[in-house]
Amino acid sequence: MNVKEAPEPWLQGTAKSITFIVTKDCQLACKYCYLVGKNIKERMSLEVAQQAIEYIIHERDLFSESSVIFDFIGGEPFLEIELIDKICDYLKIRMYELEHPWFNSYRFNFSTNGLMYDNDKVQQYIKKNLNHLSIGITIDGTQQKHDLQRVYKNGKGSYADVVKQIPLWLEQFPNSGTKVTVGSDDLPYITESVLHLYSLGIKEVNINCVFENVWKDGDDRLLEEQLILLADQIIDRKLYEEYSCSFFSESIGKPMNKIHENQNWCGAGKMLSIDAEGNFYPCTRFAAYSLRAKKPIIIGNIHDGINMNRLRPFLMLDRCTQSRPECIDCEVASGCAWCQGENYDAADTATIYQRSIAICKMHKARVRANNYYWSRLNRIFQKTNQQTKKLEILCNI
Amino acid sequence: MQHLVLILDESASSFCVYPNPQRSSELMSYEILKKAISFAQRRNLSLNILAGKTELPQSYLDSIDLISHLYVQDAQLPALTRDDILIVDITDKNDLPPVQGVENIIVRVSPNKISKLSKAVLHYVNDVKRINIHLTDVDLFGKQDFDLYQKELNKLSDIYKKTLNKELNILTDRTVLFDMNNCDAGIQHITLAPNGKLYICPAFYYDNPENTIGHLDDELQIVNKHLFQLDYAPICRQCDAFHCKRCLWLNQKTTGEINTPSHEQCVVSHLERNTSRAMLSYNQVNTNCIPEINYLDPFEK
Repeated sequence: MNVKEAPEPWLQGTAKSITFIVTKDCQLACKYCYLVGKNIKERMSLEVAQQAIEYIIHERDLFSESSVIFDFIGGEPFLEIELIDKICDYLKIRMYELEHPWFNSYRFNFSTNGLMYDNDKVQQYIKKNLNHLSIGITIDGTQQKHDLQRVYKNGKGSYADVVKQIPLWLEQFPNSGTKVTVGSDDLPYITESVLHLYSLGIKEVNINCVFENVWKDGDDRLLEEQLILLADQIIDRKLYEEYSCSFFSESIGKPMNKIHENQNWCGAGKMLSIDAEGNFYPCTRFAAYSLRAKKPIIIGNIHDGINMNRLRPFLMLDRCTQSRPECIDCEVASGCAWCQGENYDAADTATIYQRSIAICKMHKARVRANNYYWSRLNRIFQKTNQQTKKLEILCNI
Repeated sequence: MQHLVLILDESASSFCVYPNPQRSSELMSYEILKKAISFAQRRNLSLNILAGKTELPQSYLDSIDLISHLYVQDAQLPALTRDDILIVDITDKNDLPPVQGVENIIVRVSPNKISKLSKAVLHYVNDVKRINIHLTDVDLFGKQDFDLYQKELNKLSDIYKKTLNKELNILTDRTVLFDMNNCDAGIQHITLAPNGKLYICPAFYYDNPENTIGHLDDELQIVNKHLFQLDYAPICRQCDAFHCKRCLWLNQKTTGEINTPSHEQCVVSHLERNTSRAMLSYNQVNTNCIPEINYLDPFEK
């Protein structure tokens, strides 16, 4: 069966992920954005970034991974392209000077709204670091779907300004995927949006429903209908040979073993985020600007280093300890994702050990559509196989 | 649930690892006391009363006598019965208060007084049946403190090797335990503060009175109570330092999570555990119940 699967992340997720929150500013005010505390004041200084780097590259016991991904996020990271360029230069020089193993195995990673992609300084930066760079531009689908959520601060949609950046982006990063976020209002546009992204030449669409509790009655049925329509389109037009959509995966929708499949879904705590103040977080989602209802969880800072006691609860997280019995015993548990930050933000107490179930019915709808997709696909391939076998038998005769 | 801990006086001395409250003496109102007794009676709970310096009016004493209870109070105050528990804080001063007339005392010691611990225990060992040591500020323990504590544990072990029918929580408890025997705040006992509100334990009240879990008049609702249980504590459930207090308040304070102990807490408990094992071995008792291990923190297993 020739079905394109989404490529594995670089080094299959074994690299250390270190995130610089370079700014909390963004040109957009996306309606589904989980960053509730965006502002124009909190910009990282080069000095803070350098102190963070010095700490990280000297703490080999704590950062023992053989590879590293440096993420730059915001807000919109390209608003701080000059600072980022300096940080990256500093990183490269210091890793080289210290003969750090990361010098031979590092990447710089960006998720951007794409609005500044063809900016001269951004392009200079891209050319300078091309072999160590991953950039994802977020475009949500059709203009209608995109502009429903991804709007400027004055309410104007950003689609037209983003879509014109796509050709250059795909020319420089031909195998890149885009990240699509689905909220309740977006549901009717899923099918046409994914197909639209394919038509723009984007072959990998990473799409997920938001983890927040935004889902209304009937949203699960709407999602299922949309995904079945999408499944039919992908199969009838044989798009599966060249394109992938993360809603469909053979591995989801199965019961999970309590012992052998007990790992945490989320990587919070295994990664490190640094903000403009030089504070460390187990993930960006635990910084104050990401949290609606809870205090930030700070696990250290550039002066004192990481407080391992604060990190212990994150590193001990497993699936069953944070899940309700109905989730542990769920017949379609596999692929049901969670965000540790959203779990914490939505929990009844200040704990990371209470899994949010806001996404439950949407996951189940996804599983039903996914089963439809794979059973249709398998039937087609069985038929093809049978015809091939018949032909072989006939030829032999 | 077995006990209701009653903070009868705002200034009652700490009987555990939380700091001594810096508050002036103020008795719980008689109204709240009567409600508390009724609350406990309905649930078949006994009272552990944290008393302070203010002498209790006869009406209080008479009401308390209507229910099973014991007093826990500073050793400077006279015990009322043999069942009462007296608290001794090891301080810079050399004199230790007398504790005659009780079977059970609590000795609180901070990292910078650790070197005085064995002397204090030796001072009291013949006077009481059981001594409960509580290390305060465990989160401040550094390597030197651990080394010093191990030396003191060795001295304590020397005392208890030769002493029959005496108990020292940090050494003898583990020798007779086959599963976890923790503080169990919120499960086996809850606390009523003078303000009439309920708390997981006194530490939560003194830390922040907003930490309440309910009121005497309401149904008790502890949210995420399952996280107090061993099954939901990923480090502790694989640990065999069975005597460890597994203090929820200290967990929350040091790691941010009620179900996760700090590194320092784990090391302290394992130093005690391993000394218990050595003590059994010295007495030529089978040590199978405390196997040899090569870590001091189960997180690093």
